[in-house]
Amino acid sequence: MKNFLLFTLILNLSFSQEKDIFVTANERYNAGDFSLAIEKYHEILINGNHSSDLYFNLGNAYYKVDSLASAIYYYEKGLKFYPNNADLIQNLQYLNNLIINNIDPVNVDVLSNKANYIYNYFSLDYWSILCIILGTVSSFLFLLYYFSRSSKIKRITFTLFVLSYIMTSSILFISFQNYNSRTDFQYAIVFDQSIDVNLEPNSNSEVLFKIYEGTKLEIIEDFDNDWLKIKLRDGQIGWIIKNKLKII
Amino acid sequence: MNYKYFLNIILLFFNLAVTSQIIFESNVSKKSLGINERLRVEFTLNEDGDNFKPPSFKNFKVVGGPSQSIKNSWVNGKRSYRKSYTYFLSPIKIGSFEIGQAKIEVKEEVYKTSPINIKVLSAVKNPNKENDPNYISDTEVYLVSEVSNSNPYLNEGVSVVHKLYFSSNIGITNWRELSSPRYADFWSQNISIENYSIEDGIYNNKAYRYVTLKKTVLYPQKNGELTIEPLSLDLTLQLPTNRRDFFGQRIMGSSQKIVTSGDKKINVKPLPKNNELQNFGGAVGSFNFTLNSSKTKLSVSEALELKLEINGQGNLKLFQLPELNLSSSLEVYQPEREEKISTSIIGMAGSVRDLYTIVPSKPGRYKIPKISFTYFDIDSESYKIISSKEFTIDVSGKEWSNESVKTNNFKINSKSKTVAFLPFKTKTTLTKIRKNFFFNSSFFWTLFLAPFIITLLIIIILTNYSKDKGKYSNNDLLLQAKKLAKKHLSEAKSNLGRKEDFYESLDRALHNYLKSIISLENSNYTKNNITIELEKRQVPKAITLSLNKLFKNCEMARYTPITNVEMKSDYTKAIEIISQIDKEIN
Repeated sequence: MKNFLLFTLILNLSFSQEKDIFVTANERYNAGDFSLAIEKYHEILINGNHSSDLYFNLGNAYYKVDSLASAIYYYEKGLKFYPNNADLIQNLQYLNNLIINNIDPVNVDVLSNKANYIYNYFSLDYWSILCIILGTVSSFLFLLYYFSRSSKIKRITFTLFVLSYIMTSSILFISFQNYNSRTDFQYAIVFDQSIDVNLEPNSNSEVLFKIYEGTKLEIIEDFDNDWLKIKLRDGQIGWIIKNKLKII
Repeated sequence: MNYKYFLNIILLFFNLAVTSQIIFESNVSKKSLGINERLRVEFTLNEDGDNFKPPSFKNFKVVGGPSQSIKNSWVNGKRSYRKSYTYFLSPIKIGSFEIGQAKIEVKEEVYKTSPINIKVLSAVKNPNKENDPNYISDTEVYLVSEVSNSNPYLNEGVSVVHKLYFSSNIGITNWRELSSPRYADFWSQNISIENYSIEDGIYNNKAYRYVTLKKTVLYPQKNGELTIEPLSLDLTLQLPTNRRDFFGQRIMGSSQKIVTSGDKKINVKPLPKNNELQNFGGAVGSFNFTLNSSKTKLSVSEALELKLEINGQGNLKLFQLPELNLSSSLEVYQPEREEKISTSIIGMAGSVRDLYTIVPSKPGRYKIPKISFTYFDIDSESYKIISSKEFTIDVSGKEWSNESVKTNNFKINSKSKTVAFLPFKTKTTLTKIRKNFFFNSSFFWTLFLAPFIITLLIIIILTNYSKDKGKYSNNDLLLQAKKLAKKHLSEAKSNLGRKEDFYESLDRALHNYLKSIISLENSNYTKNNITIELEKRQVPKAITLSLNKLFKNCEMARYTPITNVEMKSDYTKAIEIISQIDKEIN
């Protein structure tokens, strides 16, 4: 216990240091020295700490130095850790308007949108803790039901047990959906001004279409270390050279 | 002979007195000729004669004649007379031949011409050329098409100039184009010539005068050997003849003549292949490329003009301008094409520009990406790429849209919402970046499953414990049964007098009591079983008998009238039996 307290103390101390860096970075940002601000923000990331605001400010700073792709990259990265963060979503949407030939996600229907919103309503950690708490409650309720003599208590505890059991399993399901959405899909941002998307993983094959800086892609598979099979948000598929992308 | 001599003398005198001497001679147009040429032989006499006898013309063929002509003229009182016989001959063989003597009789005298030797040579190219106007025009008028480059690249400019060369003694009064060349596989443009001026030039190492009739600039559109069709002209020529006019000047004869320039072949080279080449729109020449914006700062719904300009020399009209690719938030209107091109003999020169009108619909810092223009440079025979500089357009203000779409979409994706760029955050709470998720980790699963397992364990342990302490629990049940028996007994007491209620309570009291002693299932609960069980527990027979009697009474009481006294005695009996069984068992 003593050790744990000490650990949290050290943790807090280091966080306060990091916070100082954040504040100085913000000062640089405010003074218009965006590249130095970017450096400072990165320092926090390198030290292994983050927050939604950090990603947000980093994206803003990159946008100020006209690096659209990097700005979008850090907003997306922030959203990966903090989904449903309204500020990140708003600025990302703002920057998405600036992408050349940006693809609107046409086939995303309202239902899956809502589902995603629910899946991401809490962070995955919250969902998992909820899972554990509800699981404990439901097992406790079962014990109560099993050992109580009075039929009245039995009836109440049983209904409560069934309810909590259903909730536990549905939250477990949500957590799995959330978990899968993070681990099953890999996304990347285009960093080159424009890239040809080829039919096959070689530069001699037919060019299907072009994608431009800042476009978000889903990575399906890779080939030969240099080529990636990508899918756009409107469902178009093609091959692309790896080094022109940055994986979120 | 004497006679002849005499006559001669007489005639001589006579002639002196009256006329001059008689001359009879033969003339040929040429003494050597080609076998395909013709010869004119004329026999002339200056007196009237008869009995003309031509020579045999051996080795010749008479193609014309004899034609006889008589010319009689008086000049200053003097008479001159001429009589001629003309033959046109065509040689049959090559060799040296003699045209023999012709004879004529004048006043009974016979005159003869002297023979002439003629050389017949092999065929001559242009027989009878000297005086033929057509021959003259053939050798003295040339229509030439000059091609600047017979081995150009695809889309490289080539000029074709049609010149009419003619020698200085020929005049051209009129010309008419019979067929003007069509340039099927070329893009062509005529350069109009306002004034035809005569210049001096050299053709085939001879000095000529020439007129430039046509200038055309061609851009080949196909690889391989292409033919430039000839130009045909109908000329009206003024040619000198051998005749001269009264003042000694040559009389000019006019002649019609059709001249054509020959077919010209040019071999068009294809442009070198380059797989890595992008956005090559077919431009060949030497160019300069610029992209300019009218402003870089504006507010939403203001218009902006982007000027994409290519200037230089080459096939300006024949290639595609690079396209502008912009964000969909920038409304780009159809570009306006402006061409300022002048075509000269060296090709097209000038500028082509596309004027784009752009209206941003959303605020932001828009990047205008660099646009590259690729062309094939003729001088260095290589592809060259010119890229414009990348620049940004700062659009301020609020989103401007006339579409008010109301949807039930979730707020995160509602596009109708005005999106503003949010300022940076001043405060934050930092957390450690974790690579692994808590969810789905073994720690998570142990925490999640632990309560369930613990519950299971508790249930198992507790049920086992209660089995071990089974008697305790039986005792509890017996006590309960006894309590119930007492309860029903007291009920029976209060029901004394009401027959049916009394016996029911009594029956229940007895049953519950027996249940408390003997643990019997309800199904085995018969009188026989009860007696057996009681005997097992060493209860005296007398008690069991009285018990059975009491049960019988209970049953009987439902159908027979029973007095209060009997009920009282049954009640006391029941208490007695219960106390006795209690005593026996304990």
